[in-house]
Amino acid sequence: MIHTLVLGLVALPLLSALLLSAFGRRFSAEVVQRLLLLTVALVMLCALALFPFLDSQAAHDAGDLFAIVWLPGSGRMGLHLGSSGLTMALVTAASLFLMQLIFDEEQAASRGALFSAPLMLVALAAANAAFLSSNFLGRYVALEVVGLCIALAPLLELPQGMRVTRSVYMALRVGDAGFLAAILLLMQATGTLDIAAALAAGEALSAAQLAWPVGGFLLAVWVKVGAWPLHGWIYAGRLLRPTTRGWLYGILMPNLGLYLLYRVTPLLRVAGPLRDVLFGVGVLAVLVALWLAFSQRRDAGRLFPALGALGGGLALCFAARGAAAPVWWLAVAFAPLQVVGNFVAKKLAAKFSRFLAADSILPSAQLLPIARQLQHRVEVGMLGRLVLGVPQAVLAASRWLYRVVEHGTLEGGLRASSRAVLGMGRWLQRWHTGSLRDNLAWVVVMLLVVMLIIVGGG
Amino acid sequence: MDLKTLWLILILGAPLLAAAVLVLFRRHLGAAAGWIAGLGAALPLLAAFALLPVLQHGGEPALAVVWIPALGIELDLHVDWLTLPFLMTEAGVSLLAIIYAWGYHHRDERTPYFYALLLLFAVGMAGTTLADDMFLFYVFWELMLVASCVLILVWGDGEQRGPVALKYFIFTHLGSLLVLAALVMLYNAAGTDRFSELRAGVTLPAEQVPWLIALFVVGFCVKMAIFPLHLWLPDAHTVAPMPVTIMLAAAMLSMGTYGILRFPLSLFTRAQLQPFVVPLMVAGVISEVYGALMALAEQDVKRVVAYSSVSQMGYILFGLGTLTYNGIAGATLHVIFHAIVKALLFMVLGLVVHATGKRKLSELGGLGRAMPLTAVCAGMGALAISATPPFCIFDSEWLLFSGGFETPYTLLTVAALLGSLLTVAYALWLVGRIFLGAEPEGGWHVTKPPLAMLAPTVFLAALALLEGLFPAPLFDWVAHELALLLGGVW
Repeated sequence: MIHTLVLGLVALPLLSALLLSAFGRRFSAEVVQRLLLLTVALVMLCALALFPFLDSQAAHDAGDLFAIVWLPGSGRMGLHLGSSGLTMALVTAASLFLMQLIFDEEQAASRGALFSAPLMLVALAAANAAFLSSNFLGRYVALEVVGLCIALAPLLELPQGMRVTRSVYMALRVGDAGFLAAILLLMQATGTLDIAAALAAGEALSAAQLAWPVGGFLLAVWVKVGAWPLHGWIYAGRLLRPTTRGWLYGILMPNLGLYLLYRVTPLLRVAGPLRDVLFGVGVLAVLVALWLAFSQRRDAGRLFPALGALGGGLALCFAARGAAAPVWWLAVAFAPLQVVGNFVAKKLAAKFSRFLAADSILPSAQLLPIARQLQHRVEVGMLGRLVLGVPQAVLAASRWLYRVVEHGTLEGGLRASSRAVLGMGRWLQRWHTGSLRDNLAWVVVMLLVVMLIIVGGG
Repeated sequence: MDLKTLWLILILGAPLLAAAVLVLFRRHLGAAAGWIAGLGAALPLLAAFALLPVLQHGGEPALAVVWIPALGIELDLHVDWLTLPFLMTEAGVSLLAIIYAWGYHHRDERTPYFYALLLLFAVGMAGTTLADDMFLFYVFWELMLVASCVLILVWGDGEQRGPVALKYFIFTHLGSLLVLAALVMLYNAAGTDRFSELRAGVTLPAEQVPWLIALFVVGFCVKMAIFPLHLWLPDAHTVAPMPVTIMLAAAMLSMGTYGILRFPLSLFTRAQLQPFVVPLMVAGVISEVYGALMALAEQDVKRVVAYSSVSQMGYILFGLGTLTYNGIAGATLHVIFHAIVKALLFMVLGLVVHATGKRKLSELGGLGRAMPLTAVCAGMGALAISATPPFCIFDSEWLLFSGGFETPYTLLTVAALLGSLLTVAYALWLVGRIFLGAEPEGGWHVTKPPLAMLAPTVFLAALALLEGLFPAPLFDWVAHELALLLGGVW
């Protein structure tokens, strides 16, 4: 029974995605929507049905479900029935269900839902695998699949979505690079990729040994929750249809980031001086997120990601103090709060925008111009130049390297050496008689004779 | 003569015989030239697979024929676990390149020579991996160079093929001369040129060891196109006809890795190689980053993927430089997986060029609708080279970076890992630019690609995924190979 239900969490969305990809063109947008809702409802039922089995003997006997050894040396990777993972899987699926209901009219009216529905189902399957994975490698792979789904959404929903896809994927890969470094380093130090065992062994490591892994985890969480200045990928989602923006971008990846932070909080407890650094970083993230939320509150597409980053910053502050329980509650509450926010924003619509924009809700109206100035100078000015200019800087550096190093120095050096050799050859040519061709012909004949002598003598 | 010796002879004999038939009967062959070449390339691959059970049962097929007794020169062929991955990679790539050539190459009266030279090129690579003595190793090493150089000179694109072929020849020949110098030094010091005798243990003067290692490494790094010894590669890959480019990028580059494994890592101890760890890792990271940056700067699609090879060889050198089990295993696997993915990417580009006649990125775009299957293969190739799981290159990079983190040089490994983000950047940019975005006015009117070009492309795309999902057999081969390196002590 446990096996079937756990399989359902991953296999049901995948099968449904396959069905929609293969036959979806024959369905109307409304049918696609209903199928999506049905699948997600079934996933939720599977999750709910698993709760009685938590901490039971049956679950203990089952151990790691569907465990395989994929890369030799990486240990067994499977799905583990844990309370925290199962709760997050339920919360994430429920948030997708509710978001689909909230934006039911918009989704059903649009043919574009046909393309994004399979993507969201694959993302849900991968997220469930990530929440339940017992092995860091398995979690990494699942997070990569989620990242790929998030990056592909603009390609499917926007007319010229490739540029957005590229920037979103690159940003998410930065976080994944941090995660990969962290798990490889942790494996090196603890000898295992099993999450529970690695984290338990990690608590016995010194602060120096934990510095790099903790840094890697921090980078991963930072990107996933969309904290400044690595938040651009979440903001790109505001161009997409409501459920994609609200769930795939606004809830799913930040949820995964918060859960990752919750799981690695025991490591932060023993990270020594790093804890103070992390706390400071968390405070900074909270302040910046507050400022962004305040200055961009008229735009729901920017407001909710900023609130998400605020939650991420708070979680980081708690995690740096080794307080796992608040991190857990933030992780669980994040998705419902985002759903409620989206619901309120949609239902109140214009009233919501006016409410948030009203100066009367502020203790002092003078704050607003300051916030706008800061936003203009820092967010658009400095950030626009620094962070958003990184791709341009890389391209400029590559062109400069090509011009100066590749073409100028290396190829130029090669051309100069060739000219020097040719010049020497012409100089030498003045000192022998006869034409060059005749002399070369004699040399070739002599070499052939020598070879024949050697071979014949052998 | 037993069956395994026959298979061994077939690996070199079949393509040589096919090449001879192609040249001698060239006027009567017509379309059959391609089939004969394909057969000549298929038999070595079949023979390599036939020898696998022999190795798995502990045997090491060998053949020794006395050639010049006065000089003590023999024809020594030998297959061990170090040979096998490289032999199979070379044989597989050569076969697919020849099949691809059936559709790519325009048949004329010189076609039999073209196929014959492709087969000689393959023989050069196979013989390099099979050779059990220095003399034969060097002969085949140079045969690789000569055959590929003629192919570029005669069948290359554009007016620059002559100067490019000359540059390619001189540059890589200089590397070969360094290798030759090292081989001669080694022979003089050890008194034997047989690899099996050298592996059993050789005492060398202590002051010569660093020079020997340096000569081998630098000489083989020229073949691997490691920065700054890579200058021959972009032009050669760009000008060469696509089947030759596929063999150059996917198979020939790996011969440099083979050389480093066969010589410095097999013959010297860890203590003797230790001073080279940091330089090799640093050179690997620099090559990785530099190649990726150059790929971003390029506008010619072939040059983008050519520079990608410089970058990917950097990963391999990094892994070799760690001198760890995981690092070297990862490097060997990366050779194989890189061959699959690089061949795939060049085949995709060949399909694009064949369909549109264009090679500049600024002239391409929106081809996804007109060439959906090619676009899917390209997408898979881009994801694979970006080390996205579960594609194959993720598996080798996992091991490479594991090996890096086992060394005390964490910062270098982090730099290598972050540098891999540039690979993601150029892969996405290349594929996105060609297949997505705006179509030209009036849309694309593309010619349907020949099945001979499409089939190997789809096969390699599927292989990149399958090898990534089921890497265990290859991991097993590499584990056997590692027993032959650094004294087998890990």
